[in-house]
Amino acid sequence: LSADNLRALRLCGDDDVISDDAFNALIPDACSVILGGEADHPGGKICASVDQRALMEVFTGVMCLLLEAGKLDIDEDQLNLLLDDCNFSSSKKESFVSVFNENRSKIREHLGNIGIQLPTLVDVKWRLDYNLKNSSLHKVNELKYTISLKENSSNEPVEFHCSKEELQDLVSKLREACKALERASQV
Amino acid sequence: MLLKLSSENIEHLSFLRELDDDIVQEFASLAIQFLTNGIKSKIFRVAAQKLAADPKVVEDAVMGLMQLFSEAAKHKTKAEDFHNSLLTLQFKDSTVELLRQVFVDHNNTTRATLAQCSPTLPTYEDLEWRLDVKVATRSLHQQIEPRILLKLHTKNGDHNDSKLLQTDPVNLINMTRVLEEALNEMKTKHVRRVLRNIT
Repeated sequence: LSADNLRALRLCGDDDVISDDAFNALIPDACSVILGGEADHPGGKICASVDQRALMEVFTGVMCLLLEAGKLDIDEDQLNLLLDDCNFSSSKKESFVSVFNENRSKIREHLGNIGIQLPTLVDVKWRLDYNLKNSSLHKVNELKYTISLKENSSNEPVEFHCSKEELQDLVSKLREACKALERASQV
Repeated sequence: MLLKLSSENIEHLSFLRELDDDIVQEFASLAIQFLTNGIKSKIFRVAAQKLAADPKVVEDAVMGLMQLFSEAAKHKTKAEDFHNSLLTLQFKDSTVELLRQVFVDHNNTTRATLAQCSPTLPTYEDLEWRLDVKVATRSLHQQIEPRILLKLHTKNGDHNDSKLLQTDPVNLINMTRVLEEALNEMKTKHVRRVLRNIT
């Protein structure tokens, strides 16, 4: 955690600035903002009497701690040690740890979606045609597959033709990949 | 089925009537070459000079041969029918025979070249795959997320392309199952009936 974050957390630990009740009201709002929600007045009415600048600093510090704890998948002991360093009262420590444990997997899921993503294949469609003739060639008489691969981005689907043999080749390579996946998952 | 040659085509080919067989052979080879690789107009001037003829007439004759071979390939004309279609041109028997031979030798390549002219999507060439496990990112450490990377190679005429795609295990298995279904469809009675009856 950065020096700014630690300072904010020590401020949070100071019972004169943030009371236990104020903290209990603040922490669910911090969680909901992380998970995509909004909080215009963090901590609601209980925190209205707290100095607003200090409140904002503390709110940010609490959110950063929640995120870092989620990112590193910190265990309870380590978390308690850190909160002790910031002079958190036992009630505040308990409150933080329980809210964090409750939301740990949701926070981690949310963090997992941030990152480098290639467009992901989500669907495949196929069509089988029997080509009789075209403007350049009569008597073609060939079976042809058209495959369309859809991605989860706004890109156009990837489309291509293949003959029966080419499709057999494609399917056998996909089966190989599936087998490798199965073997890896059994290890 | 006999080929129907337009009167313009017949007129262009009439220039070949007076030429020796080895020159007709050369013209025929040129026609095949131009069909596969494109026309080189310099050659018309050089040939015209050698034969003391008008370059336009030489060009028309070669284009006429190109038209003849491509029409014959398009309709999948049999060698016999090709031979008989040339009788109207009043060529020497040896000329007709050598043109028939050139046609038979190059019919498949001509059909392959013409096949590229039809409207078509890129064709499948190859698929490479790679199995990865995402273990961490900047935002989240200690993950285990399997990811499959696919590289699809396609070809459109002379142009080769490759596309990188990612997928997860569920989608990979689904895709394999769907495409296996597609392959099985070819073996059904319906498809076999169509293939048997429509030619």
